[in-house]
Amino acid sequence: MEQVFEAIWQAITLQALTMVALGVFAGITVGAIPGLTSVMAIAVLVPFSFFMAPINGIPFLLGIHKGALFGGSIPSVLINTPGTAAAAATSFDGYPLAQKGEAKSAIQMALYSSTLGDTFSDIVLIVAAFPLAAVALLFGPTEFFALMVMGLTIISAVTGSSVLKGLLSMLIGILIGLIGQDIISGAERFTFGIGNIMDGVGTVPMLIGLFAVSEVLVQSEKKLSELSNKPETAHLKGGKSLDLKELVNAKWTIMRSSLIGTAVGAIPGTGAAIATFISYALAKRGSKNPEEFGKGSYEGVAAAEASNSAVAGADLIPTLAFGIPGSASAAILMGAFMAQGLRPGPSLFQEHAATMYGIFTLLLIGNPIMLLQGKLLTPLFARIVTIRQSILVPIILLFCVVGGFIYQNSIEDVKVALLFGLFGFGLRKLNFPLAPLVIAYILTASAEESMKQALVLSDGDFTVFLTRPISAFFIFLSVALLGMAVWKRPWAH
Amino acid sequence: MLKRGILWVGAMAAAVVLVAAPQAEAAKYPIKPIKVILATGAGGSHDMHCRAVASVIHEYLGQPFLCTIRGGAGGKIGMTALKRSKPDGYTIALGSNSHFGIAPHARDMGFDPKTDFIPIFQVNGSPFMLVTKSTTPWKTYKDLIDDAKKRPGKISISSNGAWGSSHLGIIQIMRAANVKFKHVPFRGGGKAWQAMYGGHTDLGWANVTTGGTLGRIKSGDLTLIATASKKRMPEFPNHPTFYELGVNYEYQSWRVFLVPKGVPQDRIAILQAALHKASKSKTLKKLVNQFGEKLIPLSGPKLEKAYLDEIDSYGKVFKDMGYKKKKK
Repeated sequence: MEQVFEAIWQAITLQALTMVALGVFAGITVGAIPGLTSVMAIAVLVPFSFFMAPINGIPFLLGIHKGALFGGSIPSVLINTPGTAAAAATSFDGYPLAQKGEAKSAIQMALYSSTLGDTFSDIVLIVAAFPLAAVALLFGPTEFFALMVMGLTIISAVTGSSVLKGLLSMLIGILIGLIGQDIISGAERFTFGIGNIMDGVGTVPMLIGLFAVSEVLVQSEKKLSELSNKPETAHLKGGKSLDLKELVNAKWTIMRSSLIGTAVGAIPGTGAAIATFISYALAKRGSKNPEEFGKGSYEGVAAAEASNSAVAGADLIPTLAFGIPGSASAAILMGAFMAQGLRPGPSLFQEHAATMYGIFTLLLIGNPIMLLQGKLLTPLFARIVTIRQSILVPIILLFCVVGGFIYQNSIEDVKVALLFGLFGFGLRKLNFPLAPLVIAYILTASAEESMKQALVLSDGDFTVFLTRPISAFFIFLSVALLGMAVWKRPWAH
Repeated sequence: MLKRGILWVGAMAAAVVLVAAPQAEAAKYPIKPIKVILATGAGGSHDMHCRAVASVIHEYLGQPFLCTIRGGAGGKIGMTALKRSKPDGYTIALGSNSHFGIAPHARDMGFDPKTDFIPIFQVNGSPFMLVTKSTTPWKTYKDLIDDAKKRPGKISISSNGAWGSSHLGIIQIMRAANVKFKHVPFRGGGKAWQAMYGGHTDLGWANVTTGGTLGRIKSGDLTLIATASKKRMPEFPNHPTFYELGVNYEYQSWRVFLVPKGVPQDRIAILQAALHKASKSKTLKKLVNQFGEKLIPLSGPKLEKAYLDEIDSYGKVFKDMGYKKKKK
């Protein structure tokens, strides 16, 4: 024990703290620019860490990982442009809040819930990495599929005013999700020979198109005089600070979402998006004001952000325990650990106890650092909503094009973004909700993949989803959730 | 240590300035950073190796390498980008044999590896191994085949994708031993390994670094059935290769720098000389060792022959299977 404290004490140097702070700042910036992802940022900056002591280099990268998840909420709230699939749920409520002139408090809610979710999962990582990772390994194709099914049930919570339109929107999402190579046969489906969509339609260009480009088109319908005026909410200067009451109201939501994010994040390969969607749906069901969800609910923002940041810490659980990275950023982080001679596995904490506890200490300290930086930066970012539309809209379109391009350095993705912009515009004109489409699209690919793998393993026997306990549990829960939705229908007309 | 980091930042900044500066003399090479295309994903072993090489190469080349990820479409996007790039030596790639050796036989990739690219430098390669958890009943290849004969189609093996490098191994074993396995493809070797390690599939493929496989075999956590190497691996002298077992299958994750056809020979020579020097650097050796790999530098006619042989041997495998290539 004494050794541990010694290690912790030695880790906290000015140099190490500076590196964490730099990392968090870089992360927030990267996250805030649509199209740039933490994966790219960490990949580019990994070589710097090769030449630093592990105690400085790795916390720097972890800082980026952390900061980017909060940073991603900023464009989701301000300009309806989620930079990642996980941030999509943040824009469901964040953007309506920004339109009401409450951008600042919405981002602050994202900041607080992000930090809390992240801290929670960091603690779980430090205390229970190995037992949790062992449980995570129990998730095979069958269990993955059941989890995805549960994710899909949340669509019932975001269908909007017309259930029919919601379901149609979901079906479109499923169709788009089916584009790409079939996992079992390798056959290409609906790709028309276009290389860029062989692995499926890119999430980032599609989200940029569907949300941001369509918004630009909606704005462009307005008269120039209308666009040239200062926005009605401009005098609020980005809005008030977050009322502490809102945070207290969301305390259960944040706790529940952190838990879900951590649990799902520990299962390698599931992704932050599913955790976010499940948390969002459960938050709506548990809320006293479910009718506010989708129209500007602070609880909605809290649910989405707490769980997607909780995934960040939990990602490292299978990465460090088994050498199985939970996500693309975790894969690069694992490389950085290995380059320092910190090879993942059970012996990691025995052979390198001092270094690992030092890194974990700095990982935890990263959270208050993020809170502080976020607090200072938020008022600046929030001022964006005071810019008149005639200036802002072209800038957003520019971001859309650049963001679509840098995603894979490819002009094809810009076309995808613009195409989905037109498509999203059409859907909005017809009053179709976009959320079911997005959720269905994101979950379909992995659901289909896992289902097919499970069926290969079971020789085509569908009962496998009910005979394996974890899978049966999720299927049962999904049915129960749907049943409750039909029975109560608290938000349907 | 931090000082070196700062130097590095300085070098990068200088590089950026150089790119921005008007380029007057083109005779000297290289006068600007060299873009290295990676057709694989971020964080994979190719990415890590590229960044490791990039962290020292400027000392020997006078210019940095900029590792650029152009993944997707099973390598098609990145590799066709290399094909289309200007052959001036400023765009190269760290290629993978699943892209240039296997994929072109399976489907239309938009390039011909023999006529569009030249291999200039091999960083290293690590062979595939067929592994299973030690809790399964099979200790040797014979155990496995005997059991598979009794229960055709019941034993499952995960692979990194349909018609990819490890699927070929499964096909070759089934053909050689006349047995049937259940093939479960995943997107990527990591996920396939995870399914094996979680006990969801019976067997899976790994190289020494996948999920710390090297240590796990030594500690008895995993059982090594056979290696897909030419000769027995020095790490496992007591484990047979597939060739020894009568299975015509060899695969190593190969990391080879490629240039598009048409790059002047003198520029290739400059790159090769710098890469050879870099591979002697203590820093690079140490970094690659930390990944659990070794540097195996190779260039010249030997490498070119190995490259062409690799493409032909997989061509033969596909031909023997009677596989019809998909046009688009």
